[in-house]
Amino acid sequence: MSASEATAPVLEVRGLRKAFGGHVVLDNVNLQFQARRVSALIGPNGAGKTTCFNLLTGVLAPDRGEIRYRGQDITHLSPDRRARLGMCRSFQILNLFNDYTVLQNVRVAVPAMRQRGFNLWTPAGAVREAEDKAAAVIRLIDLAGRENVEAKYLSYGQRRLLEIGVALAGEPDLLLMDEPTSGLGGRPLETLRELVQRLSETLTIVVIEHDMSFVLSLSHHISVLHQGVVIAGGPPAAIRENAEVRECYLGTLKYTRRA
Amino acid sequence: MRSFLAEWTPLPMLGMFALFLVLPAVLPWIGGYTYLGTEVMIWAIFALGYNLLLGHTGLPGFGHGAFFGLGGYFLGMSQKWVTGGLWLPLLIGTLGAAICGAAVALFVARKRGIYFALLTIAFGTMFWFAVFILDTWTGGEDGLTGIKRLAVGIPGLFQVPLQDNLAFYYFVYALFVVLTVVIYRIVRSPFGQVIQAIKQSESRASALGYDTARYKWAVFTLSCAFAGFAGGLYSLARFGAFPEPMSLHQSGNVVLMCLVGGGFASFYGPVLGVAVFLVLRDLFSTLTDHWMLLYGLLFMAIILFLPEGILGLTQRKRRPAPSRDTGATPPPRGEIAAPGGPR
Amino acid sequence: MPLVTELITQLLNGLVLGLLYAVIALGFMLILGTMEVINFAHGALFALGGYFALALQPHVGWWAALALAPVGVGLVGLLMEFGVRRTYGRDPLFGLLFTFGAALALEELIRIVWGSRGYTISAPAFVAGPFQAGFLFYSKYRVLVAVLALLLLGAVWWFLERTPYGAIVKAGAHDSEMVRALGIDLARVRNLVFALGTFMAGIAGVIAAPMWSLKPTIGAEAVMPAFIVVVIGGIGSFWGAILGGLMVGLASGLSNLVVPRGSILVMYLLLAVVLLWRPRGLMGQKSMLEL
Repeated sequence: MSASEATAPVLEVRGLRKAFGGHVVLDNVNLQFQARRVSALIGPNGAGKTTCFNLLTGVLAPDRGEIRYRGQDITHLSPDRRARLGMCRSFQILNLFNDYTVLQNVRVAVPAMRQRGFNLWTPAGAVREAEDKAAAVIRLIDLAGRENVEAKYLSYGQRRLLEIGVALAGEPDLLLMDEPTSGLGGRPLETLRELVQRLSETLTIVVIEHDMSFVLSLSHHISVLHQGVVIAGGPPAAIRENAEVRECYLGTLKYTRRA
Repeated sequence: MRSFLAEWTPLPMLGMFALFLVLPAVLPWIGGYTYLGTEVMIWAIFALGYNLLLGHTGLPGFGHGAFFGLGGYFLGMSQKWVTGGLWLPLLIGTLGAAICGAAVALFVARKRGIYFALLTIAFGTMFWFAVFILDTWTGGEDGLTGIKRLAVGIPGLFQVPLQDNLAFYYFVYALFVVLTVVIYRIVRSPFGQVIQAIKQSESRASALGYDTARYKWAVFTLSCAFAGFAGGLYSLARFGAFPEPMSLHQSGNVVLMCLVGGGFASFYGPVLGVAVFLVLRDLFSTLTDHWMLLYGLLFMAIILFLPEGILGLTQRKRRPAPSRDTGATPPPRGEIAAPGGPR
Repeated sequence: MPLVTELITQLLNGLVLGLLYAVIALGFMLILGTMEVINFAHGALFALGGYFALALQPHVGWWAALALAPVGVGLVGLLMEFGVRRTYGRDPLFGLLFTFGAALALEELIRIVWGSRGYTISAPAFVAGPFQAGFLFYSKYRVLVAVLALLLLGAVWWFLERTPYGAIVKAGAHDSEMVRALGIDLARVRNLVFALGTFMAGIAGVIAAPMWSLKPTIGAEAVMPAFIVVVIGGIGSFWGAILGGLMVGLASGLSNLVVPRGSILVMYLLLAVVLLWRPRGLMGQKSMLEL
């Protein structure tokens, strides 16, 4: 474990601060995400997790602080530029192309398609590389056989998996998942679990989650966010034993922010 | 063979082409006339190109009449003072409109929805005013008259004069066929996939690595090019370029044509919308001088009661039952399906 | 000497025009900000105001016509809203197109009732002619226009800032869900705002009629600057509409000195410059309209 700690983190956040009006949502947040590990970001509602994700992916700009991806300062890069650098994201509230089929959803995310974005002539279906990659991803998310179903007609569990599949199809080095298990149960949840396990061998994964069993069983490192501040970070076993973390979830923790 | 058709000219398109091929023979029987058919095809080119922006990308441009008109003016001006001829002025007309469109697109590419519409209205009317003010070039209110329909053909081999309305009809027909195929290819290309993705969720498209502003700029400019081309044809048809198609009214008309025909639901929607529109216009104006009133009322009724357009009706019936849930909680509020997209 | 008088006259004209534009733009923007509907019919309603006054004036005199004509227009607006409301929540395109159809119908109705010819309206007797201030002769009527416009703007400001209804309208523009959650009847609010906005268009039409001649197409010509004013000033900003109106009016007035025919295009130049510098307009907030 200490050997990987010696290598530089894939994603690093320093001194991140974000306020909306007078309300400080994130304050002096420092985080590090190591390569090919599953890192989780947890915390009670309102802790600032999704805001943190929005800052990481470029949807929002921080008031202070910097974000480094593989050593490069990406703090002010637009979301599309970050995606092209290899950071892909799935959304907490489903953000699919609802009239597109499963295949179309996944295919448009594939870099081979994106690189041909200004091709006005060749039929999109003729881009072999994109078709193959899309088919592979669809198998991964257990939606094989449903390629031609429009996203809006899928079941909720299938849509959740598709949501992840679209992010995956972008061939990321860093995959950010915002509450991927939200509302999932049964078979789709199992599929997701296996998927994350398999992916962690090749990708860096950062997950926001509420499902503690998912987080504890799958992640290598957990950071706990509470009222905009990181109050704990470490391997699952340590976090589970951490008294402060327990109290913050039980609502008994009162954390006073340093001015 | 089947995939050739699907990639180039699907059956409905072939049917449409066949219909327009024989239309001049049919029209007199139903009280029509050849020029009406020509007008339909010209506006269909305009509307199909415009629908790339509206129906496929979801951007409500309300100033495209300006680019249609500009195409005619640039054609006329180049025919009179720069070159003469047929193809070069047509090209100049198209390019001129496209360049103006590209400039406007710089301002509107980062916007959407109402704000986008508002800005396109403003810029569209700017060109309209410019045409009146620069009247030494454009002829002002009276328009740029004296545009000639020169003969088309291969020099030395054959020449087909286009003064006759029937000859002109088939000239326009040939172009209509070519351009419809071109637009169809664009819709099915990777570019077409991206713009339709942008319509469904611009935030997701951006998160996938697409610089959506650049794509919006491109599709806007492209739609202006098609508008300019159609406008050039229109000025050839009328032997002159006039300001009237550039008004806010006409810009609104093309939006309505796309909507009425079902441009959000079908590739062919705009063509149907154009046909319905122009036929109704003729019909209403024979009924009363104040046909504009009927028009306005009809528009309001369509918006209220048939918003998905005529071809959108077919979508209402086609909806299959959603697949069964596999052990999950029902979808939370906020994850609702968006309106249908073009096929 | 003559150049200075000319300059001052044009500046004053620009000021008066600017105030009038501000009134038109404000009515337009109230509807846009609250319901996210571009009211294409705003121009036709402006014209309707002038025509109503034309019809009423011989019977009730100018002041009464000034009061009643806009009420008539407001009633038409109220009726329109019953149709427009069916487009809320859908793609904003539909509201736009509905008012577009309404604009066509209204303009044609005006033609049917009053014909296509233009009417020249003369200013009421008590403000006819110029007044003199030193070397300057200025139209008394335009002064009245300015005064009335200021009163109207003040009244709207008072309504928005100092009454509970105004607060609701402002809130409704920014967060309609919240307003609904508070139990306020949003439908009633929207109806009211539409009536108010169209009322303002109508009254502007009455005031402007003696300055510009009255013909069916005047609506389209009047509403065009309103679009520009709203974009320049920033959607959703009261002071933006006023600032924008004044800027557009003054630019128009000044360019009349230099390049009288191109004064309309100066507006667009202003628009382009403002947008390049401040993409959301001078005082625009990030709004729902941009998503």
